[in-house]
Amino acid sequence: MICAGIDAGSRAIKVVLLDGNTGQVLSRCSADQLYQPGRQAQELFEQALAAGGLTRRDVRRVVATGYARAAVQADTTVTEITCHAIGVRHTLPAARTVVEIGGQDSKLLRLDPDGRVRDFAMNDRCAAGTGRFLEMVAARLGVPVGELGRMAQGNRCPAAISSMCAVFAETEIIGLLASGRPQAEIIAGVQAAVAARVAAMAGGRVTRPVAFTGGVAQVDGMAGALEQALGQAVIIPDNPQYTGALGAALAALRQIAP
Amino acid sequence: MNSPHQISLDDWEIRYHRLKAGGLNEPWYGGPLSRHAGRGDKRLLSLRFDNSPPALRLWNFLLTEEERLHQARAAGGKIVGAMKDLGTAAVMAFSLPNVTAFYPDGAWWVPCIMEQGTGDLEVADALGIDESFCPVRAMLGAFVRGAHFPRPDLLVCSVGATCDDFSAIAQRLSSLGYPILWWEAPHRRRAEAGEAAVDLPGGLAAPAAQVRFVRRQLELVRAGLEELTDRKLDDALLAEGIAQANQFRRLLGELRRLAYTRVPCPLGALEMLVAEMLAIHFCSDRAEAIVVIGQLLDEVRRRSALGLGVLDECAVPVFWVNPVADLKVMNILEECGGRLCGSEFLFSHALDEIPADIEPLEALARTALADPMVGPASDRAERICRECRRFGAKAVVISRIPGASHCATESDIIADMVRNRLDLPTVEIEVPPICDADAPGIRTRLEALIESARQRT
Amino acid sequence: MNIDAPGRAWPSVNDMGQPVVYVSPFVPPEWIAAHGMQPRRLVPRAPAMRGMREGQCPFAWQAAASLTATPQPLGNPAAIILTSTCDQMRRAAEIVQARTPSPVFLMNVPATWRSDSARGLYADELARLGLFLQHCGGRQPGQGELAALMLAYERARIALKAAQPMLSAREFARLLCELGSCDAGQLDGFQRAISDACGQQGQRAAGGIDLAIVGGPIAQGELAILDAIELAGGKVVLNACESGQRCLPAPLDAQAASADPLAQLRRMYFDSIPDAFRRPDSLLENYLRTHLAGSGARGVVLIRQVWCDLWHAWTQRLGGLCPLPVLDVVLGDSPEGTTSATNRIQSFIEILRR
Repeated sequence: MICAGIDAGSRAIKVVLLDGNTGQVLSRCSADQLYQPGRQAQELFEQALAAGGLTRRDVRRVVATGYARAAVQADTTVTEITCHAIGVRHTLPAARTVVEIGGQDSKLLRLDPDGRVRDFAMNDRCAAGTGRFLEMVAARLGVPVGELGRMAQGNRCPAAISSMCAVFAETEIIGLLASGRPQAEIIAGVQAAVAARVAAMAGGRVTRPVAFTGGVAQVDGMAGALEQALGQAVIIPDNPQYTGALGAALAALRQIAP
Repeated sequence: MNSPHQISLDDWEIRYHRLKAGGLNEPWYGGPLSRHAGRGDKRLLSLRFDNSPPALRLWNFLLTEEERLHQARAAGGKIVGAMKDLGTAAVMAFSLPNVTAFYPDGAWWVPCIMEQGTGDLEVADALGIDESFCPVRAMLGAFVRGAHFPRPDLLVCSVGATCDDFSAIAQRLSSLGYPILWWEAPHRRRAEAGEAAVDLPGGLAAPAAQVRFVRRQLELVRAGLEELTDRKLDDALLAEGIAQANQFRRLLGELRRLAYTRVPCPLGALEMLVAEMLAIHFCSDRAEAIVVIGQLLDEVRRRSALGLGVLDECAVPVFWVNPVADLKVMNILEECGGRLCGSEFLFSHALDEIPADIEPLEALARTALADPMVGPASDRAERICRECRRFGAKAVVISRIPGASHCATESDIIADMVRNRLDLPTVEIEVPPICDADAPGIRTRLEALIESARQRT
Repeated sequence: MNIDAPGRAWPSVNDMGQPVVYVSPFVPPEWIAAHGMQPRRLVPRAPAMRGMREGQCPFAWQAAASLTATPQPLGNPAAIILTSTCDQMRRAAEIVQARTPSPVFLMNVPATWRSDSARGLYADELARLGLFLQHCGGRQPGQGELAALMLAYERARIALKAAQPMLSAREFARLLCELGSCDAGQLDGFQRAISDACGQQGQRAAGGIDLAIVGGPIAQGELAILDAIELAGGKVVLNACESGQRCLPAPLDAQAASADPLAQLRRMYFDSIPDAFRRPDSLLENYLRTHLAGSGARGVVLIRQVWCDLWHAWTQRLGGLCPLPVLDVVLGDSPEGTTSATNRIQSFIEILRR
């Protein structure tokens, strides 16, 4: 029994095909979201099927999640909040807090011991706590996002990026560059600022263990910055950017066999 | 078409003419809802309404308040703007014959209804009251432009332990040449050892000294009203005014009980929000407000008896905290699989009956002190928890008012108590005057809340 | 930006007994001292950012954070007094109450002030505060003792006011806070502190562009903005912020104080201190009209905390009140906020100089 999860996020689309009998991921793929998330998701789904040597008929149920979930052809939709909780339950069953930092938003979920969402907070109105901020900084510094962490490695003196607004923070960064502040310190400062913004959503209430998911979890140095901001260790599951899509596939499985 | 359901404005147009052809009896302010949209209330085009004649009457009553105020002025009546306090001063004003009270703060709905095309907010901006203040700032624009309501003969405003946004906005209004009779609403505290305590409506209590103080403040309001009308506002008139207000509150109480507990849900969130709002100031006509709410209650009783409703039976009961500027959000809640099962719109003291077995001004003072805004947020949270239990809430939405100074701190206190005491999923959203741009995010939060609640049952 | 004042230390709890901490200028320190307790005026060191939510006043939030921090930097206060003068502080009090073992007193300071009942409420609150302080270990003051203490504070205030022309705005703010943190035995020392400060500040520039500053509370770290004004060539001739002369009580009527000291405290503080939260705010309007005109200021700097509605609403009114240019400076939206404010102040003074 094969189920599919499609996470149509605001920055990227991710697809996971899951073998419901074994719990194994058969195939996964992702692409940046362009203009037509519905069509793009469909194409990506077909790519995932092809990669797994499957056809649409092999898939019992498809659940779509993410910002553009309504645009995706699927049997049903489930929000990314629930999907991340389900996905983390599968990969890190003990987790009681989930921090997800995606391209355009960030979330903090508190889970019951049985993995159900107890409550959550989201930031989708301000870029300062999201991957978009890192992208913006990378563009300003002229380096790829993936290089940011490596460049900041070992830095012990992160610059203070204090503005709550990403636009003004960029102004601060320009000022810091103009004053000759090393790039590494600026990057470390930006990572700390993103983490602080996310930690603010927790309001000081974080239950261990903390799972860190979403594409930004792959950026070197972000986990450390988040640990610093939360005052707690964080665990990154395998393929953190696929947690939502995995959760969607698992949600589809639950719908077939509750 | 006659079975209860929610319909668009276009659907109402068709239905209205059919009902009319079938002999629909309407008051003077009746008519098709579409005419309000034609006059500029464009937000109505985005909403889904209950399809019953009593709901039509409710909407028409709400949307003709301006005409009512102008009629009152033309008839030589006195118009009192009762600001900030949401359940006391208006009751006093309505106790005098030929006085119409209204709630200028209600202008915060105007930008929503008018799709922000009124210019009220622009005027407020120009007066230095920008978007960092709560949407009530629209009131400033409404006054200055002379739009929406006639200039009141008297403005009374409670201040003190209320909210800084409104206090600042009202003071700005005053500085523009609109004299205000200020009265003090002190921060409600608990009686200390050795201090006499007095029970307040809503299960609250306060020191007797505070009640005495508020009573003296209301004496100032009474004197202001007497001076305005050249007539004594004696206890008999106040007692009658209280009795009328209580009649409305009893009807509304029963409406809330049925609408919030019956399965399927007999009346949608949008109409319930509007119905509750009438409690503040009766939409400038107390007697008619009683009729409107009575008819709505009859309809809900009828539907409940027949097991009819406007929503799916499995809609998740959601308790809602704080009023919203954009009415559309109440529709969104239902589209996400929720139903309203209780509310705390910051005027719960206007829902509770005013004590009728004590001296009228004393009773009003106790009611004023029961204002959820003047007390600690924990008192509010206690009531919310109580009502969540009473109405069987499975989730709670705390709707932040953009710019409102009290929300930033209050929301956490309420959410914490709800989680700790009731273990209910809780979400916080912010609803701007027009939420279209934020609707996807709001929808995701509400859907996730409903999903969380469903997982628990 | 360093949050400490250069050179001089702000009052520290380490060299005091168990303090009774308060924040608002509407709390008379002499009333606390009369109960045999150590008044301690809290001016938060730095604007808070961490954990603060959009909409929260950084000053109130930082005051609450200071009072609930563990370990307690204020040294386990015997009591904490907060006031209802603004929405944010009133709600901060609820958080402090829930999170600190120290007893918290939320004093109702009415926004209205013209009615007998409002004046009576303030007096009643002073009396209730007295009982609270006794409950927290204070003693009941005798009437004569209180009157004498009021006189001693009055002398200290007169000395401070006399020294003002010789003091920088920051130094005046520091001394005002120090005066609010003196007990009866420390007032003589305070007079010496004024002399010392005047001695050290003897070089205060005689020239400069005369400016008035108007607004609400300023955290210690944000007082750098006052230095920035002076460094940019400005001179604060009227400080109508919470850290300035606006919030000094009215002069004492010693004769009336000996007859009814509490009534006198009410008159000095409640009847007299103009503030943005008062309704109507004609006290403040008249104060500003009179003092702005009399100060000779060539420009006005409005200094307000972000999300403070009460002072924000004055942004435009100030312009209508006096024919002076007004600069609006918002504090607390970032720890580095004073840096951008400094730029604006420099530009403002350059414009005025021309």
